[in-house]
Amino acid sequence: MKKYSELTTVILFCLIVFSFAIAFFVTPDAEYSEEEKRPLEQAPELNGESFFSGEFAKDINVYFSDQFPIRNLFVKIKSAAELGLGKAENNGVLYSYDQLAVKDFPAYNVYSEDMTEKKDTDHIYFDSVEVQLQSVNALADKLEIPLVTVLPPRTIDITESKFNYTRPDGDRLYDLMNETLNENTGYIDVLSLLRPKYEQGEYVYYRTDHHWTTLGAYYVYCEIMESLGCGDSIIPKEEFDIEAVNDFIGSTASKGCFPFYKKDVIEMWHLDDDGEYEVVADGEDMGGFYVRSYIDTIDKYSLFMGGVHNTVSVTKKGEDRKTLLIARDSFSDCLVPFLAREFNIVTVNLDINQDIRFAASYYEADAVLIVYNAENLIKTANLANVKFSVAY
Amino acid sequence: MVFSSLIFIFAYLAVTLAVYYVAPLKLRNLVLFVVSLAFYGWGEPKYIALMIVSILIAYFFGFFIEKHRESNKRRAKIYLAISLVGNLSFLLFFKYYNFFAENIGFSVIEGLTLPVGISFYTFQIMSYSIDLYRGEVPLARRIIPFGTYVTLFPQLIAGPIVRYKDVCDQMEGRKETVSKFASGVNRFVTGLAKKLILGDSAAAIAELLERNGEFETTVVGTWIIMICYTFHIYFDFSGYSDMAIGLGRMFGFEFVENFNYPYIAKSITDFWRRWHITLSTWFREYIYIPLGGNRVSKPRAFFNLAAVWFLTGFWHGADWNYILWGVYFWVFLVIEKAFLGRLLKKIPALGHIYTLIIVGFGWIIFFHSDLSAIADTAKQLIGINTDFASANIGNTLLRLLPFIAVCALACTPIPKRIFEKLQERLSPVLAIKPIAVALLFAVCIAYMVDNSFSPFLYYIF
Repeated sequence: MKKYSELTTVILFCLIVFSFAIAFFVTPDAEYSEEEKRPLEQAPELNGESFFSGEFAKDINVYFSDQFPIRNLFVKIKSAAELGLGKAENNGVLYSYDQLAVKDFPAYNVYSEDMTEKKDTDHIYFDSVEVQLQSVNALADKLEIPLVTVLPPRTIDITESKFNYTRPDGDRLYDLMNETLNENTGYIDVLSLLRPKYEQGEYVYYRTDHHWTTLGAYYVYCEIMESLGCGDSIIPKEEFDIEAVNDFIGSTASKGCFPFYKKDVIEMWHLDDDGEYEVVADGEDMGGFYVRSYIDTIDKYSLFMGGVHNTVSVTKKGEDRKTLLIARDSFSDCLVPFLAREFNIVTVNLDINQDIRFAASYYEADAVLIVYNAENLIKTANLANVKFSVAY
Repeated sequence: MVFSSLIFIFAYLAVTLAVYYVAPLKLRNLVLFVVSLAFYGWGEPKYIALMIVSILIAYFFGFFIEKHRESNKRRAKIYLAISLVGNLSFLLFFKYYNFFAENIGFSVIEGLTLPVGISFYTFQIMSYSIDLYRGEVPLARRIIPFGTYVTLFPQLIAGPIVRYKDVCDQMEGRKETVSKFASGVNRFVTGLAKKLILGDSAAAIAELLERNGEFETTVVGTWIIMICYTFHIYFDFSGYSDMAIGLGRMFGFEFVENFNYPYIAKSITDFWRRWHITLSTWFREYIYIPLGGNRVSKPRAFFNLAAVWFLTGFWHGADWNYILWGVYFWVFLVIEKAFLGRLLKKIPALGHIYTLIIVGFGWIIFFHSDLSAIADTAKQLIGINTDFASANIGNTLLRLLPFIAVCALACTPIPKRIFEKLQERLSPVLAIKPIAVALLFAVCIAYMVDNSFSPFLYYIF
């Protein structure tokens, strides 16, 4: 028995070492990982300089792990092992079967006193946040047309009750928004709106992704309409015809790499007149609100108007309507199909320097909506870009 | 190259094992010598020359020492001295030059990097020269087996510090067997798991808490950091020794043990019999006993012990905190010798707690080159100007408890004993064992594969 056991140990070990070694060198290298949505490291170039500087030794380690055979399986095994150790957390993502949430938001390029890069801390640089909020105030004071500001909370803020975890700063971020943003900004407190709904079991935020769901977006749409004085034209939930896309695996799941979790459902809320809207993104006709070719890809969220574009415009055929300019991030993508029932829409991105006041006059907008999620507010200082419009 | 990397296991080890076992018996030492040099040169090929010079010095002066050992003791001693000085000078220069220069006021040499493993292999080489002079080992007549002993890749980087007298018989007369190989595999995988799963996790937790400590420092938090350091260094270092011993067995070697459950020690004296055993042995054999050990006058014995602990600290790194770390242990050893040891023997539980706290704080000294940071940490541990806890750290503690429990258990002989009992009573355990080891190996591979995972761009916007 002992002999058998020892022999099996040796054979299994050698089998693993040699078969993976051979498989690694035989299988062609992949360029891109669909699951992780990132390019993979390619074989480093070996030359005298790279070898002697140690650069080669460093790169080849990354190359080995990126191109390792059945990498995805190993990644899942690791996070299963982490769960087994009772960590309920992997790569900064908190785990429960029916909800995942990122808890670490490494800040970079923020308006903090020392301007240094702080990785993987739970800390929020509130001075940076405040600078950005003040620039929204400044924009609101100069803008001659109505402004609505929506700063979607992070998944962890909405879903904290799911986890045995306390956010170090609690709701301080949202308290700061409430305190700082003045009346002219038309600030809508999404946290107070959606968190109670989540806690009552409503599906307002995705389980595996950082965005709100179409239902979540619908509730926000109602608030925006009220805020713009169009409360009477809110379309009741019941009138929509809901089409569901199953098996959506979002960014949070990709980051956490957990082996088991409940997948998401993306909903498209249709009305009979869907065909009458013309959606043009960067000069290209999208053929409607939904780009159906994304349904069968891993990047399902991009089915809302095809993901990131510089500008998107939505008009309704044969109708002359008011124009709403949306200074957007990706949270607005599933909001547009609702708002477009009332307004013509033009979107611009907030990640590049956008002169919102100039854009508003350029597109002859009648109102402006800022949609900028709290995570970006923490991680970057891009919202301060809106203040460029104040300068001119 | 570290053992816990994919490139080591799936490129280096795969090739080495294949070539080694295909090669005829006669050439096997040469194979090990060549691949070990390649291992050593990986990333820093220039230091291969240094290594070869070190080997040649010890090798050639070995002949002189041997020749004059019986006839002219003085001459033999001179040759020994030359050989030792030659080897030590490399260590002194590369490891300590900048430290001395900085403290004396000479100009520091920029970009002077420490050759990998120099502290370890220098000591190994010296053990040969000294033992040869003492007539305790035979002369190494052939350069390849001797070179192989010095460069042998399993113990090259981080020990165990294998003395020549412990392995000289194995250099030319070892036998590779299935049984040895299998136990090598078990040992290697255990070490890998200790480092990757427990050690690295503990390190990551300590790092995170330290960074968060910039914003919120609590007594509980500082204690958790200390505990994580304690686990980190043990699982990392003893895991590395396990891997080294395991790899050695795969090639037919049997190295001496380096750790013996140090965290179950009941006094500091006991701890140092269990921690990094090969280093303590080296200092005892080649420094402490030659100085007279404790069979001398009291003040002299006091000095001898102090010298050994100063050197032990300094060996770990060229900085004041390492010296402090060595002297710190010396103080406790002296106190234990004077009276505390007898007291602790009566209350073993107290001795255990005392040892863990002293050792734990030792790691704080070990990890902080900034002496004022050490003082701050000491204050935080006992609550001077520090809040006891916060809601946040309370939650962190709760989340970490299972992990800390697993680590604590893994520091004791209990898992091994349970396993051995099971093996005795239930014969299927023996049949399942290889599969369990293979699965654990797969988990370790997973930890190495997922090391580089980083979030992607879509996430930002």
